[in-house]
Amino acid sequence: MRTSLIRTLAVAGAIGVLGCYPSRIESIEDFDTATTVRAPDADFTGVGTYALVDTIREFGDSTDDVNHSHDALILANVKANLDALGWTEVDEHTTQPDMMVAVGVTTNTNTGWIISWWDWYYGWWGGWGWYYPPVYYPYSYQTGTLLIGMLDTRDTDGSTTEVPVVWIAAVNGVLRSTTGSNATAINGLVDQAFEQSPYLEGSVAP
Amino acid sequence: MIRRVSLAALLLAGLPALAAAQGNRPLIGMTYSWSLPMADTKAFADNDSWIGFAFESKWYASDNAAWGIYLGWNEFYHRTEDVLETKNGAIFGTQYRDYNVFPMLLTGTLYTGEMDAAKRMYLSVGAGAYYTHQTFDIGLSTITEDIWQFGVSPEIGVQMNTFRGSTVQISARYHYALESESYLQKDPQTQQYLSVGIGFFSKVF
Repeated sequence: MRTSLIRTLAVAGAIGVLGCYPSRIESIEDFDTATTVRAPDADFTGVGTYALVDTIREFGDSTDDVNHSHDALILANVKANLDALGWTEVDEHTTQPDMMVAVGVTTNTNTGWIISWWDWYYGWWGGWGWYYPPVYYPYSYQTGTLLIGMLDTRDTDGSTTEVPVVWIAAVNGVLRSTTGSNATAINGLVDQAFEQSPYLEGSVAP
Repeated sequence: MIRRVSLAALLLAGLPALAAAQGNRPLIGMTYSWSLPMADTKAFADNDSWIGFAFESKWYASDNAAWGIYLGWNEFYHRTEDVLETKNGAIFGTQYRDYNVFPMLLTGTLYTGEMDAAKRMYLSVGAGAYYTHQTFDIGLSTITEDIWQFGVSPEIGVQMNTFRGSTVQISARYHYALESESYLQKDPQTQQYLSVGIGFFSKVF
């Protein structure tokens, strides 16, 4: 009698504890991330204009398919966030902007140092070269990660050969949004990237 | 170090004989506990835990004193979507934070009252190693760390004799593992939590 009671209590306890055991993944949204990093000496005070590259470029040498059917929605949302900063969009062919903004999507999985993120600006804009601030972080991104980069072009002219990258956002909704059909979710993460970067407004100390 | 280990082994080996000499058979049992994280532990995993087990044994040195071993497991986990600030940026995403803590302690216990009293209060102090397996998930990334710390653990409780030498213990135990820089946070971290538990023990040998 006593033995069976102890066994019953043990089984009931085990069931109870297993029922309480934490679940790490509860939904596919748990994989979503929005990561932002700024150059240590970046100063966004006085920024008033920007130009946004009108296509989402692919980065990587994989043959993975990336769905571009929602590019227009994503670019429109990036523009809305830039406008919300109080910045004005200009045509970079006729007016030099304070910031050049570009959006890309990765087509392969990478790990390494965040310094490599700057690489994808190399050769993007004709006569401009690039350089990177001394930021070193380990990182990883997967196929379908949306990258938003910002170059500070305020102190450039026709002879400038290097332009600093001052802000990058990496939005990862890899399992659905970028390569799937849910642009709303990816745009929510884009909104989050700007929201967690209040220093872009210029009046907020970084 | 070897001398310390040898001394501990000698002590443990001699405990049953000591207990037998006293005519008091040792106790062995399991404890289930609910735990509340405190201090640095709370800062990482701000969530009370219903996952807590311990294996304990006690050898009586006299009617009112016992030595013992405590081998425990407590898990603390916390899910949050707080933005994680970094040196030059921030990361948003569902974070899953988890500590699996395994205290391995030698204990000393003092009891009130007679050995066969229906209820006895007791005060215990444990000291030894704390092993913690730390996990941090965000997005598709998982990072882990294994930490060893020295710690102490005071306990207060009541022991109720039931029948045939079996006892039930209800107790509160505070775990305090000294600072370590091995945690993922990199800043020195202690491991602290309060456990309230119920244990079932039987006499052996």
